Order: sequence, then C-alpha cells, then structure tokens
Amino acid sequence: MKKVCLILLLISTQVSSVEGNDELTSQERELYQHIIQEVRCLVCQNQSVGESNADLAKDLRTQIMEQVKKGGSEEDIKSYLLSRYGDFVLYEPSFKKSTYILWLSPILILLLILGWLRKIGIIGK
Amino acid sequence: MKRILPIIIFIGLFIFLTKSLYEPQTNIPSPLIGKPIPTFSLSELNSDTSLTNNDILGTISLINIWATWCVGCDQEHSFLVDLAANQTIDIPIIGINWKDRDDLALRWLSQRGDPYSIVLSDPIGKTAIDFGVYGAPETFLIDEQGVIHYKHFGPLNREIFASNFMPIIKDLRR
Amino acid sequence: MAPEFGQLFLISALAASLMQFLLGLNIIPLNQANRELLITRFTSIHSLAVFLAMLCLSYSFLIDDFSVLYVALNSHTNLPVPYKVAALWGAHEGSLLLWIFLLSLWGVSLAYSQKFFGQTMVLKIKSLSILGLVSFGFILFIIYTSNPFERIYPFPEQGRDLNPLLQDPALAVHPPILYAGYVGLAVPFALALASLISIKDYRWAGIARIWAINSWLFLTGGIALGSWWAYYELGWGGWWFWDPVENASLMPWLVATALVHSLIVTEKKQLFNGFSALLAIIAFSLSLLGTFLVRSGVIISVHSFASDPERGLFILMLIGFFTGGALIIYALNQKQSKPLNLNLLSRESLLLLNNVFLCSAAGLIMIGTLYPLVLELINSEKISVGPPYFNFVILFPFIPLMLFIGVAVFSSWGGTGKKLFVNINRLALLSIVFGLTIAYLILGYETPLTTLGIILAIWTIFTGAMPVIKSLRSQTHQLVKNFPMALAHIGLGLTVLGITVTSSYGITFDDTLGFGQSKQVGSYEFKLITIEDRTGPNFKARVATVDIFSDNVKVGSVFPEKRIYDSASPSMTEAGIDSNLFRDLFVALGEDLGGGIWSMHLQYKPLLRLIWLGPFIMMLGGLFRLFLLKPFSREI
Repeated sequence: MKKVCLILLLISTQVSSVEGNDELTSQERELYQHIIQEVRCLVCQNQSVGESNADLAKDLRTQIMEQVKKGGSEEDIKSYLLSRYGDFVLYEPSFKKSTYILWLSPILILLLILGWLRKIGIIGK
Repeated sequence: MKRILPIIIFIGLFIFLTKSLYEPQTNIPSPLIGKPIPTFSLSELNSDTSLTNNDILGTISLINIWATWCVGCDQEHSFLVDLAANQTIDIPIIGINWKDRDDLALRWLSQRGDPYSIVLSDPIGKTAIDFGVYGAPETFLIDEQGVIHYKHFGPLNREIFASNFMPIIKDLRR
Repeated sequence: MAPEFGQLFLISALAASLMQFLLGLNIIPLNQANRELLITRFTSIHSLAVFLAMLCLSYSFLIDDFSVLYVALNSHTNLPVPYKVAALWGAHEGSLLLWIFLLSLWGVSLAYSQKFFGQTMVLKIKSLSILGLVSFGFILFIIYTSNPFERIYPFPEQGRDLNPLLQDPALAVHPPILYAGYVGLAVPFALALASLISIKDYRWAGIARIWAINSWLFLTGGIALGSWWAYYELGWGGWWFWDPVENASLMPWLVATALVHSLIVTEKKQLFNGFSALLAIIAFSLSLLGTFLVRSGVIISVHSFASDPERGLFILMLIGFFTGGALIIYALNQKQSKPLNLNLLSRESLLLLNNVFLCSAAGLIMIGTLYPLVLELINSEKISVGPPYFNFVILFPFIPLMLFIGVAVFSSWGGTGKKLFVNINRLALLSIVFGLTIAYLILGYETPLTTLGIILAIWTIFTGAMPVIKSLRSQTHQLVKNFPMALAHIGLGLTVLGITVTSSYGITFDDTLGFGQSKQVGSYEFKLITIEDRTGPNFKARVATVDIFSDNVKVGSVFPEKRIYDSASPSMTEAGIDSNLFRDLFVALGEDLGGGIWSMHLQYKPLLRLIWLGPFIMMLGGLFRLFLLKPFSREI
C-alpha cells in the first residue's frame, strides 16, 4: 500500500478528470477547494483527497463536486462522509467526549501558564 | 516538584510510545456497524435488470466488494467459492463488482468460479462510497433485515471467517 | 572491499567514541591538560572514522556496486552522478550515517573551541564525554539494526533507483542542513548536563549559546528548505502540511528558539539557569523523538522511512537512556531556585513569558501529533488530526507571542513598565495604521484574523527594526549589538506576513484547458499554448507552455511537465512556477483528457516567497550574532 501511495504521490494531480470548475460560482469553487483539502484520502493516508491521485480520491472528489453543485453546505458534505467512513476521513477531529482534551488543550495550557506565572511570583502581587 | 515534573511527564510519554510500537495497526473501523445497508439501485452483472435493497434481503448473507483488478480478491476467491458450496454454513454471498467492466468481470468469474448468488455492478463507485468502501476486497455480514453486523477489510480466509464471522452468524441464527 | 572497509571504519568510530566517553569519567588517572588533549584527539579520530565510512559508501554508489544492498535499493546506473552522491542519505541507513557524521563534526567544533579556560575546561571535557556516549549509542544502533554496508547475494544487475521525488537538487542540501540542526542541539544538551554534574553554575550558558544559535540556524534553514522543496516538487502548491515528520522538526525549532533566548538571560543575569538547562535537554530530546517518529513506523507520514519495530525499539531505548538519564541528573542536581522578584514588564520576565509561549506551541503540536495514537491505544478509535486543527490551535500561543515580542524588544533588564510604553505606543499605532492600510486598501478585507495577522507581522518588523534605526544615530557598537536581533525578528515578521497573506488571499482553480484556451484566476489569465515532448537524462517528459497575462499584458511563461522516469513507469509532475517577491503563479499538469485538453491546477499565491525569505533573514541574523560580535563577547 505504501509503495502504491509513493508512486501515486509522484503523479499528484488534483483535478477531477470528469469535470472542471466552469459551472461553479466562485463561492462554490472555494467551498469545493476548501473541503477537498480537509478530507483525508483513505488509500494514501498522508494526503488529502485534493492532493491524492488514488482512484478513490477521484471518486470522492466527484461526489463532493456533485454535492457542492446541488447546493450542499460544508456541514452536509462532511456529515455525508462521516456517516460512511467515520472520523478518520476528516482532518478536523470532531468535538466529542474523546476529543475534549484535544480541543481544550490550548485553553488548558494557557491556564497552566497563568497559574505557574503566579506561583513563581511574576504576576499577581 | 518542579524538578521531578519533567521526568514524570517523560516516563508517561515513554511508556505510551513503547506500547504504541507493539500495537498492530488497525484498519479504519466502519461507522455502519449496527446500521442497515445503504439504499442502492444497481444493475445485475451483464443485464439491464436493476436491483434494489429489497431484492437481496431476507436472509443472513455476505456482501463482498470485489474487482478484477484487485490482487486481494484473487487471493480470497477460492475460499469464497468453497464457502458458497458449503452446505453446513449455508450463507449466500452477494457480490458487488466495483469500478470494473462487465465483460472483464464475467471472464474473471468464468475462469475462477462464481461463488455469488447475485452479482451487482457498481462501475461508478457511488454505492461503494455509500458502503464506506476504501479498498477491495471488503466483506460485510448482514442479517435478514439488512443490518450490518460485521465488516472485514482485506482478503478473507478460513481462519478469519471462522474466528470473526462464524460466532456472529451462530448468534444471529439462534 | 570498500564496504568491508566501511564496516571497519564504523567499528573504529565505535571504539573511538567509547574512548571519548570514558575519558570524561575519572577512571583513568590523568591530569586535566592531558585529559583534554586525549579527549580532543579521540573526538577527531571518531569523526575521521565516520567520514571515511561515508566515503566508502559513496564509493560503492559511484561504481554502481549493487552487491551492497543499500546501493541496490537506492541507485541505478543511469542515475546522474550528483544524485549518486546524495543518494547516500536518501534512505534510512545512509541518513543515519549522515546523522552520526554531523554529530561527530559538532563534537570536533566543541573540541577545538577556544572558549574554555580555567575552571570551565571541565565543562568541555565532560560535554565531549557525553557527546561521545551519544555517538556510541547511535553507532551501535547503525551497526546492529541499520547497517548500510550489508551485502546482498546474489546481487542484482540493476538497482531499484533513487525515488524520483528525491532526484532534485534540494536533496543535496535539505537533509544535511536539517540534520546539522537536529544533532547540533546535542551540544547544548551535553553542556547543560556537564554543568549539572560538575561546576553547577551558570557559566555553561554563554558557551552553550553559541552552539544553540548554530543549531537553530541550521534548523531554520533546513525547515525552510524542506517547505520550499515540497512546494515546487509535490505538484499542488502546498508548503506545509502539519505532517508528523514536519512537526517533528518544528518542535525542536520552537524549543531551540526559546533556548537561545533563555541562555541570554542566564548568561547576562545568571537567572533561569535551571530553565535553560531543561530547555537544552528538551530540545535535543525532541530531536531524538523526531528520529523515533520517522523511523519506527508508529506514525503514518509521507516522510517516514521503512518501518521496523526492532529499530523503533532501539531508538526508544536510546531516548529512554539519554532523555531519562538527563532528566534524572537534572532532578538530582538542580538547585532550588530563589523566588523571582521581577516585574512582569522587565526584560527577564518578558523573555520568560515568550519562551513559555514558544514551548506551549511545541507542546500543542506534540499533543496534536500524538493524540491519534493515544486514542487508538486507549479506545481503539481512529481519528485524524490535521491542518484544520493545527492551524487553529497554533494561534493561541502565537498571537500573544507576536504581541509580546515587540514589547520585549523595548524592555530593560530588571526594569519596570514605566518607560516602556512611551517607546512602543507610537510604534503600535504605526503598525495598526500600516496593517489596516495593507489589509483594507491594498489587499481588500478578508477576515478579522487576517487583519490581525498582518498587523502583528508589521508590529514585529517595526519593533525589530526600531533599535537599529535608533542606534544609527548613536554609537556603532550599539548598532552591531542590535542588528542580529533586528534581522531575526524582521525575518519572523516577514514569514508571518507571507503566511497570513498567502493563506487568506490565495486563489486556486482546478480546471480543464485546451490548446489556445485560457482561464481567469484572480487578476491573472492563464493560457495553454501547446504541449511538446522532451527527453531528459533519465526520463521522458511532456512539457506544456502556459502563458500568463495580467490586464492583457504578458507577464511570463511557465513550463509544467509530466515526467516518466525510465526505471519506473508512473509519471511525475514538475510544476511550472512564475515567481517574484510579490506573488507566485503556479501551474501543474493534471491528466491528458484527449483532444488536446488537459486538466490543470492553477494557483495565484501572493507574497508566498516571504515564507522562505523570512527564515533566510532569520538565519542571517543568527550568522551576524555568531561572527560579528566576537570582539564584544564580554559585553553581551
């Protein structure tokens, strides 16, 4: 699998070979570009679906393009993918119990810093 | 305290890294377990008849996603043929031919044997995406109502089937 | 014979590094002068032995000796000669050889340094000894699990060729420079430990600072080169992916930056000694962690070498020994620090605060990188943590960091905030005005975050430049003293400006073009003229000519290619890029759809080059600091 992906990495196209972006409005085009960068290619797992040249990536891009054209929002399309492939397929982890610590870590660290600064006497005199 | 905090954090990190080194890489778990199979409408292999969910439900079966270009499918095929012929286990195998051509698929099956009760064609791949397929072969275990109870990624063989599928099948048949 | 000699040299290096280590322990009775002499000699011998081992491997590459497994896997008779040389570090075993070579070179630079005298000589001896032990561990690792001199029998007639992605001039510079940065952090690490086990005071800091800046310099360059290479090589115009291996280089960089600043305080004010030592330990440990992540197979990455749990375990043991040992020594020897009596706005305090932000950034990146692993282990749940997470989370430490950088520049040692705000108020206002002008008038409003990023970048640049501008009017040596800092901060500001603008204002267009057709991307028109064939030394290519117009005036032509290397069938894209300081225009070929129509990836990327110009200027700052200030070293 890894060798296939390394080879596919070389080919690196990002374009759905079926359709171009002509008929999209600029908002739709931006939405499409935005989403394909955030979806993980499940075949070549170190690339987004936008970057990957794997067949599955092309199929997924086609699907996403169709949904964008039908007027789907980012949420709609992402939940479409989530319900089929699970959390792994999105580069942005969903906010749920098992990822609370992940998403709250910036705030936690900030609080830790403030607490420590107070302890060593730099603030709060 | 400040002096030993770093080493405590490090020990935690170290233990975690050691454990992760020996954990086998798992496949992507399917969110469809426990849910019914997606609605589909596909033509049967080499015919114009269009089949939908109702046409394949009614009994505990396997759905096998395969293709002629897929090396793993070749590897598991003889096992599938045996399984289909096995009267004791008696479980039908529904095939979905993924991103392939009907003529190639027919030839492939005639060369290797056809274990499938029905073969559906998904040349575009949209139904496969609905199943959450990301590589062939993949095999789903469904019950009479079409609820998915298990999914296996990769080629099937006797051992995997016996240890992963049979217990669920026995359970469902009780 | 060459591979066998290579083995011999490796074993010699093993022995020499062991001696280098043992000489630092007091088991052999010697007076200090002799000890110093001997340890210096063995450091040199060790380095020479590794160098000769590298030469042997290189020789095998140059004569196409495919009986050597490593050469067979990474070379080919048609491979151009420069790449046969660079292929030495193209895969796991050889790159480790490069690693230990650079480590030994840093040892030599420490051994011949003139900065040690009198009581600090013991620091040199102890730190060389520690470096010897580190080298010993890694050479052992190479010999036992990753030997590049392994033979293969029967040997193939032709090699598998170097990965086409690596057949690029950047391969000659990116790994060596990056590795120099990684291993260079071993020197402050060794010095910190040496201090903790011998003289236990602050005098290690001024010396360590030199090597910290050196390593930081190389890391900055290595990371920037990697980003630049990925941009033009990989075909989709990306320059940073928060890939685990990229993160593994960014984390030590952040901590090394903190280390450099902390060492300033330790050297000048004899404060934060423990903190500096800890940073030195953590920085090198992060380098080691990076090595582990890349080579153990634990993490999925485009950069990872072939994975092997046995290798992973060995590296983990090395990490456990060195980092664990170092942290134990730290815990045992670190004196209880006196409570700080500092005003929040004193220079010491602000430097500490910014260091905390830098380290938090490193910590957040570590959490994001390792979290999927943790979750899989605990919960059997598989998630992905990628750019959307990192791009969001990194803002939390970086925004306050950029803010306080400017404030810190004007702060004074042991000072209070009184005179501080007088100086910066005007600059703050100027930055806001400038920033708003750029964001609203010149570029067009995007989001509040974009505006903030631009303002902060300009603030960093202005505050960095201000001390130099002020000292232009006064004495020269003040100018010289502030110049490196100015360059480094200006460089950072430019980088952030480039990142903000290109991310917010860049435009991407995936489309199909036929001959003579054109597409509008922003204010630029891309027109496909023709596609021809060409032949290279070891590939055949289809080359497109794409003309780019702005307001109907031709701005440039680019020639994106699709290459097929003879030795492997799949094709590779070479992007066509028209670049200047203000914008990049990027074209990559997709697929031939027949009938003269090709799918293409078109991009407009404003201020992209700043992302690499910035690090370059930062490096200049580091270089100036190292070389310009020697006569004034007492004052700094």
